[in-house]
Amino acid sequence: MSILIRADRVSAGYGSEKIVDELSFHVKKGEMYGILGPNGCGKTTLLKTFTGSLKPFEGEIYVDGKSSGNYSANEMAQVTAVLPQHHEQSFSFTVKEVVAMGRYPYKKGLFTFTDEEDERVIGRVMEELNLIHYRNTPLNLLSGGEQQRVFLARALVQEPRLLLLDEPTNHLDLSYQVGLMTIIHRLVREEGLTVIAVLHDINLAAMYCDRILLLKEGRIHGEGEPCRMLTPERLSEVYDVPAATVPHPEVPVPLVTCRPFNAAGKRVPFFSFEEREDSLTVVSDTPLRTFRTGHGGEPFSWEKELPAGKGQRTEKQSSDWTLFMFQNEGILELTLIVNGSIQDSEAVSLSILLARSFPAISVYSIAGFPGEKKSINEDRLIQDAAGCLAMMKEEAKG
Amino acid sequence: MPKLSTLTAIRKQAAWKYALALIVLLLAVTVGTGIGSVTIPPGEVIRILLQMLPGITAGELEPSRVHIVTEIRLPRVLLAVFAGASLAAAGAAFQGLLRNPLADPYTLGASSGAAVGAVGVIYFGITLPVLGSFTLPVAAIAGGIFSLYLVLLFARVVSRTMAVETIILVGIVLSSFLGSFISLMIALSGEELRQIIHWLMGSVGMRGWTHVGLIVPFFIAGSAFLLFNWRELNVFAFGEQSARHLGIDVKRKKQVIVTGAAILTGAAVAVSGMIGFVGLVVPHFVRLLTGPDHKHLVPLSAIAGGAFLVFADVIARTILSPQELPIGVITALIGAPVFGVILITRLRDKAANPRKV
Repeated sequence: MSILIRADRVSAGYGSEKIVDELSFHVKKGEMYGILGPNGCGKTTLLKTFTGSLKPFEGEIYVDGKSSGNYSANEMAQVTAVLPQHHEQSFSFTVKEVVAMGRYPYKKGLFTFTDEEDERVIGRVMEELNLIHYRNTPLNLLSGGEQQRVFLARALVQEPRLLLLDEPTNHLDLSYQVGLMTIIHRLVREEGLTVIAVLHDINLAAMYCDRILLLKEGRIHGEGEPCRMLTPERLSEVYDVPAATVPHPEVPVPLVTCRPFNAAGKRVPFFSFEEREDSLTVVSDTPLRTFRTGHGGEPFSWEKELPAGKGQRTEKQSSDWTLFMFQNEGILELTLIVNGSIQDSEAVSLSILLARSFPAISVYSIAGFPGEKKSINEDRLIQDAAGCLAMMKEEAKG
Repeated sequence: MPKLSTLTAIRKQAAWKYALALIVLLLAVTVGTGIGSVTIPPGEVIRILLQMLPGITAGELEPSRVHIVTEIRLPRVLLAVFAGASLAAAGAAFQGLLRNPLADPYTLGASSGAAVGAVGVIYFGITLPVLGSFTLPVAAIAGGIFSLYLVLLFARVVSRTMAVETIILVGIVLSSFLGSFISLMIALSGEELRQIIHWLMGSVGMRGWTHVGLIVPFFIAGSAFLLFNWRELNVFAFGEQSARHLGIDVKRKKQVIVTGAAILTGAAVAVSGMIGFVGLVVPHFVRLLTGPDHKHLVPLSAIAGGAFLVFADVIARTILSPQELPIGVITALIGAPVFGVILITRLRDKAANPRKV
């Protein structure tokens, strides 16, 4: 694939303050390219240099092989369109009038009416974005999400090859966010549009972008596919918060979130065991991350009250965990409450380990707290479980 | 080739609006020419006007009445038409450019700037060699442009987003400041006093054909500046950043539009003095009727502004007849309350919906 945008050691900023520093990268035709980074890292400044509205201090930006400085404003608008997050508005133009303004770069003179070509493009774009029935509605009567769709239509009737998005989904609700990004993504796939998107929402970027540029303090921290860029380590460094990722349930990208500051260590989890009817329930003041097998239903959940089991029981306690073994109508259940956080993957491998060692046990619950990570000594766990099982057999004999 | 059906649809709709506006203007001209100390019925006015055209004879006409119409009333009415049209078109352009429904030559301080230029010329009795009788309008236009750039500069310093209220506030401050220069010149003036005062109060009376000749070339030039930039004015409604994204050379287009509007303002002030609020009220109502598209808003505002000022002049000279009120009194009596209503609606809207700029 050929290159549409190439930044060559670009430094830019306002006044004498340098905000982005010697950035070099390129964006291929038909690619959706995300720029991520904390506030003030230079994302928007960088975007402004692409449109020519900000002149770089040093370096060059090549749009389709030609230096951005050699484009007139008009030529640039025929290649590049911008969808910002916020639009100033003053007078109540109709949707059709606003969309038609996108033809400006192709218009000159006093009495040029919209011609057939304009009407064709405007009609097609409004059809695509489902705006036809709003054509005569004043823009200010539409909701924020619908207005953003109108401005996307205005950008698209410029017939750009490059669409720049500057946090376009910031104040939109989830359905409009996904709606807008889905439309744009389709244009990239089907019509070969190239998109550079400055996004706040890392997960949205992960879901839609082919490649991601991570910026920190005006410099490139990394560039590549979302699954390689959006690792907890990188994100923690770039955003200065403890980040955590889990795989998206349906598409092969990470979902990113963060752990609250200082959640680790400071919080002393408090939980107790309560006898309820004939079963033992773990009652905790913070939800327990729980992995369960053998009960049907979702294996992972957050539980503030976890039914540990019922019937005859034995237990082993240590500073690291509490282990219960239950026997109820011939079924053996094992419940492990870890005194600290345990990762989902670890819980799964522990349950496999236990199931291999004790084929007789058919139900497992493994639960832990958010907070400091506990590493489990597997040998000791097997020992404890074996101990519980032995006690249970002895009690059964006695 | 443009598709015929869409074209005719657009033209038909627009033609209807222009026809209505022109009928109102013709009505205003006829009424304005007919009413006065000697009332001349509309039929006779039309006959007198028609016989002014070459090759048309309109039967027997009384010479004294012909003189009243052609030499006294018609220049006065036409002056009102051109002054009103200039102010309203300038107002429409300022409002579009600054995304500000409160902008007009008067509230932005352009009128005061033009007045300082004009009063200076009268006070010092200057006539520049090449310009001759055009010294007055040229000085007024220069004053208008100067004060406009000053207002825009200060407003930018105060708030980078050029908030609507900030610009108006700066305009009013500058107006008061420039007003003190005018007062100073009045205080120091001797025999020019009457001339200055009379001129300042805003009037289209006792001016004659020479003044019509003074405003027409500037009206044509200024309007052309604005008419050629209707697309840009439309796009500016969504902010300068947005305009740049659509390929507009923002700085240059802004200069062109400000200059065009200042030419109109300066020319109107030079021939008719300080007449306020025409540029505020007229575009506002035209926009309510036809929508904000500047392709039609600017020319329709001009036509409606002309008619408005003629009617205002008719009221000014008949309401306390035989005494004549300054025309600025009438426009302010209508305009100031409208200004208030727009301001209150805006602030209410803003309180209800703080996201809106």
